[in-house]
Amino acid sequence: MLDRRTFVLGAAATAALAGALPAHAAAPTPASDAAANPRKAAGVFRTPDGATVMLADQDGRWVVIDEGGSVRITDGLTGADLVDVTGDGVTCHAVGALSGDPVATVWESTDGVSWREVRRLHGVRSQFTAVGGGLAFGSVLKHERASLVRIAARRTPSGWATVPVRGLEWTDGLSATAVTATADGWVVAAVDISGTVLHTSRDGVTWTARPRLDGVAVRGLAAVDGHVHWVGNEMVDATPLTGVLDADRTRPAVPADAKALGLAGARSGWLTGGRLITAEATR
Amino acid sequence: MITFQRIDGTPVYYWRSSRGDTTLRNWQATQAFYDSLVLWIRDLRSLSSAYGSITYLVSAGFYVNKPGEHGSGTAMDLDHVRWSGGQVSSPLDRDHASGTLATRRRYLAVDAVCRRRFRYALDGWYNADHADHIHSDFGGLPVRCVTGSESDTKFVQALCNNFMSSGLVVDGIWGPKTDSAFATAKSRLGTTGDPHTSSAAWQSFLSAAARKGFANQAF
Repeated sequence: MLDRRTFVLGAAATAALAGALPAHAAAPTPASDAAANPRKAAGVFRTPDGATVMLADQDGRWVVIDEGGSVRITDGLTGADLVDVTGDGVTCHAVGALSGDPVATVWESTDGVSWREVRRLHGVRSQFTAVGGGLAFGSVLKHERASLVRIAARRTPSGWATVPVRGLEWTDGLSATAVTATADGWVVAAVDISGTVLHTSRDGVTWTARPRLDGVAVRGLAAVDGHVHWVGNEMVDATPLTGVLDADRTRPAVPADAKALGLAGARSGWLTGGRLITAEATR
Repeated sequence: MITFQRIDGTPVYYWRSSRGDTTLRNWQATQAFYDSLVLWIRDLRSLSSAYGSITYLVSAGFYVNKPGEHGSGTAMDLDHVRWSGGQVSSPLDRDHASGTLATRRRYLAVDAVCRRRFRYALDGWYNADHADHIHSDFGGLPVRCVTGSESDTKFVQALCNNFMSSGLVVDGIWGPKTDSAFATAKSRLGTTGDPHTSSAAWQSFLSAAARKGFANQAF
């Protein structure tokens, strides 16, 4: 359980503990310092105990930070360059690549803190960039880390298996930014030079383009009450935006500098001032 | 992350939703990347001084909430440059594929200036996704000419074709013909040192190529 080992200590106490405990046990850190400036956030997800947290890189370590600023240092993610994370209430999945010469990798956790690698694509420079609904999307990468061709893996009872994707060839130069399961399949987003391109699929293999979202970079998708919600930021001013596919977009009640982290069920997650805040996805 | 509307005093506009729009926009980037943008535009001003001052730039984005360098606030997508003398260079209009040699050479000159400050510059020859802008980012510093880079190789091949009529296939593969043409280009541009291992030599080569490009002169 996430809360069981989460404490907020003073700086002196933290310093004293840090030298005495193994890394994963020395997790408690002052809320004000610990959450002050995460360098990079993989995203927001719901832990099995119902908390909405973000997975962020802080001083070269992947940590889980909740809205109160409490920080937990993860284990099992050493050498990971994470790009996205999701949780279905039972299992959490994070995707990205192993650092260095990138190798697309999927990690799994049952508590959001302890992770283990469950799939690695050997033999090709690659990276997964979006995960949700049992699908992981990514790209084979060129030397410059630009996308050469899009790839996907699907969660099966025996593990994560690569699957072919058809209908996405015209977007091979793009990297997926979000994917989610819907009532009748999946929807995946990728950001191009002027907005977001969207595709839907019933079987996770054959994809069909649907109307694009111009002017916005979609960072998260989630199906809630029969509607597909999205969160993102404007392409130019990075203004926070939310919306429902085939409906209007709105300005959420979050600070103007907030960066979308994704959706965890019906809640959207945002990074602002180094901190996680969440809001109702519909607002 | 910082917010800016101008780079070193030069306004940066956005035309993707309305061409010709001169509304100032609130762009975002890291301080370190912005500092490199300042060095970049000063290079550009210096190397293109015969055109007058740079009136404005047009960009498709700096920080964008997506994976990679844009998501880290360490990338720029350049759409258009306008000088006070009336000259323009417009990646947005696919100037790399223009039927006018002078237009292609000016595009390559701007491209070269980007490569002086940013390790990865992805241009119209690189792939279809960059046909209408030049992407520049911080990935893989320091700047050098890397023969294993498709971006660097295609740039060198296009450069040799447009300034020396080398007749190379722009395929991104650094073979003996590309190597020979590059050696000739280095010699004609007076480059000393090895651009494959020395940032200073590569930057010197790029500056010389940019001067030729802005002057529309073969080498």
